[in-house]
Amino acid sequence: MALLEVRNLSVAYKTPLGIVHALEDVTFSIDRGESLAVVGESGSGKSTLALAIARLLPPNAAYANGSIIFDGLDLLNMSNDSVRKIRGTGIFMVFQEPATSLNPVFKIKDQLLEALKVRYEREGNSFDENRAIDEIMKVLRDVRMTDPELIIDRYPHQLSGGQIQRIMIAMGLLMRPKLYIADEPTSALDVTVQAQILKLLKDLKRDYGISILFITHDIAVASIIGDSIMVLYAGQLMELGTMKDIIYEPRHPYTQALLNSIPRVSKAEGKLPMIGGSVPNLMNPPTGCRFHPRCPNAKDVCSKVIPNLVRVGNVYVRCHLYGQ
Amino acid sequence: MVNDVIIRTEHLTKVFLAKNYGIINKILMEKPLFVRAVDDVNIEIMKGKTTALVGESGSGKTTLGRLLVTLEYPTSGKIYFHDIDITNVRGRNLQNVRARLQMVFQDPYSSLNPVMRIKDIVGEPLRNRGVKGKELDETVAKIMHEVGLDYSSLATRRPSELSGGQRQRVAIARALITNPEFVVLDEPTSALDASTQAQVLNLLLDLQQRHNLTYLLITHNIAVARYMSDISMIMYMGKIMEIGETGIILKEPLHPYTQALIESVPDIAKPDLKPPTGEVGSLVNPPKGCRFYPRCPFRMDICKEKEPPMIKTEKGIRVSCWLYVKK
Repeated sequence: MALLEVRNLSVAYKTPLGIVHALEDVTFSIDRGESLAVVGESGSGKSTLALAIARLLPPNAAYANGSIIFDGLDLLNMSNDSVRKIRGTGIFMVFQEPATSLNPVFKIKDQLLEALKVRYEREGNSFDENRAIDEIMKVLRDVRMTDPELIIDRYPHQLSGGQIQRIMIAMGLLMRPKLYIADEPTSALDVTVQAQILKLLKDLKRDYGISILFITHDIAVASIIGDSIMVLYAGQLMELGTMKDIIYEPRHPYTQALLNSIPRVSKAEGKLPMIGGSVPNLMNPPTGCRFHPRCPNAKDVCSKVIPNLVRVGNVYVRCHLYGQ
Repeated sequence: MVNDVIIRTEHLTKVFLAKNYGIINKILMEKPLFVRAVDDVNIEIMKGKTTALVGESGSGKTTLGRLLVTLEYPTSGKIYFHDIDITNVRGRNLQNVRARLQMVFQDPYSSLNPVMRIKDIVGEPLRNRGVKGKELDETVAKIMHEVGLDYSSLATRRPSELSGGQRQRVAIARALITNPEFVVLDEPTSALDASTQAQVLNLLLDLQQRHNLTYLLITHNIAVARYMSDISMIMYMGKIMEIGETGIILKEPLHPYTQALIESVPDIAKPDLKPPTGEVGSLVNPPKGCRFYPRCPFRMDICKEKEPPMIKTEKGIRVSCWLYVKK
């Protein structure tokens, strides 16, 4: 059985100006030890998806329908107390902004110890500080932190963004979660540090067998980290499948356009093809397929009927060009 | 193509105070702490070409860009624009120089005044030079049309009503309205979505051809540099590490830092990344020798002691590294 199964998930936000349809009918699953990269532009619903799975959506959000089954548990129908027991040791989330993810007034050591205390408690073990410190040191070495003895006595503002992201990943390892959710964990970092963190996550996935849901706006980053990839556009799941299938043979016109329109280091010369227009306003999304106003292959039906998610070869595509 | 030099710098250096240094610090005999943001930079920028300035955060690339368009005064060194020394121009002369040197800033969400109408934002540089009335409106309409903005529907809107791509077009229109020769583009697409990035990059290329513009493109994204530029300069901790034709540098990077940077860029169908170890060092007390020494896989004893000289290779690449100094 898959570790995480999301079925027909829709999420909307109530705002004073109207209802924002942030996610519409998203279905996918993640197996144990698998990494899934979620790619989307701003307003695609990728962060909403992460928050929905961690049950951290703001109060003005409403789940329309659908289900999220994590490790056999129905997350959407659980009490807040039970969900809290899953956070950290079941689902661990790394956020985008390194600067705001740690408490500024506590030393790194205390924050990591607190995480360990939670895990020991849930495992029914008593807390022994010396053992805990040993474990912290081992994990900090695993995340390739230089001088961990010095680092743990510092405060968050004394660390660089890359170091904090390493601490966050280390905290995750200490809690031994089944699922890591990483929401743009490298977007605020320099490319060389981003490469270090991506490499680290890949190594940890191999060594610890963790499952990763990696959210990014950058399809090139996604291609490095993901076994599979899910492409979101304006809240709709456009394409889902293994990384190889989608990178080398994208089916959906949006995925094709996205792959063609980014400048690449290794690509041949020539002018970049562009996607016209811009990302739609979700207060009032286009009817039917939400990509149809910008799609080069749009037909009449595209503006009227939402295409079904159909299986083509090894991938799932939501487009009227396929199936039927 | 004529290889005219439009901008040239000699030993350009910009030093910032890292910490407030007031009278109390003086009494306490504390030493002031300085950040060497741009350190002894000697470059030439060719007319009509795009030069990419590539570096990570803290490399000094934005400071160098601001120095070249006179938004910042250098601590020492000289800047020449068409062989005229513009290092210390002031007053009316400065205004005239600035009309020919423009800058497009990184974040179109914070670089445009939120309470002004679009047509006022675009027209402001001209209005400051005394253009007004019908002439101003016509020029604004013309430039807005050129960057792909509809004058009739957008002229009286405010920035908050525009998308990121539209805002960056406004910033570009505002920079081009004074008919500049040299434009510094500071990360023009890093705040934009992938699908709008290509639109803005292609627009910049069109405008360059039409107006024979010279660009300095500041970017951390090597893929954008590859697509846009003829020449690349790689900058690290205030120093230029390598300069040369973009195609050659990307194919055969010489400097170990350039190699590490290229190996770190994620690309589709690239199996693995090989990042350098460590992080960008502190600029307050930079290493005495080569700035990249602590992270360099090929470091030698001399790298720690002495700054490497700029070496010119047969292919016309200039690189600052002891590996290429003939013994």
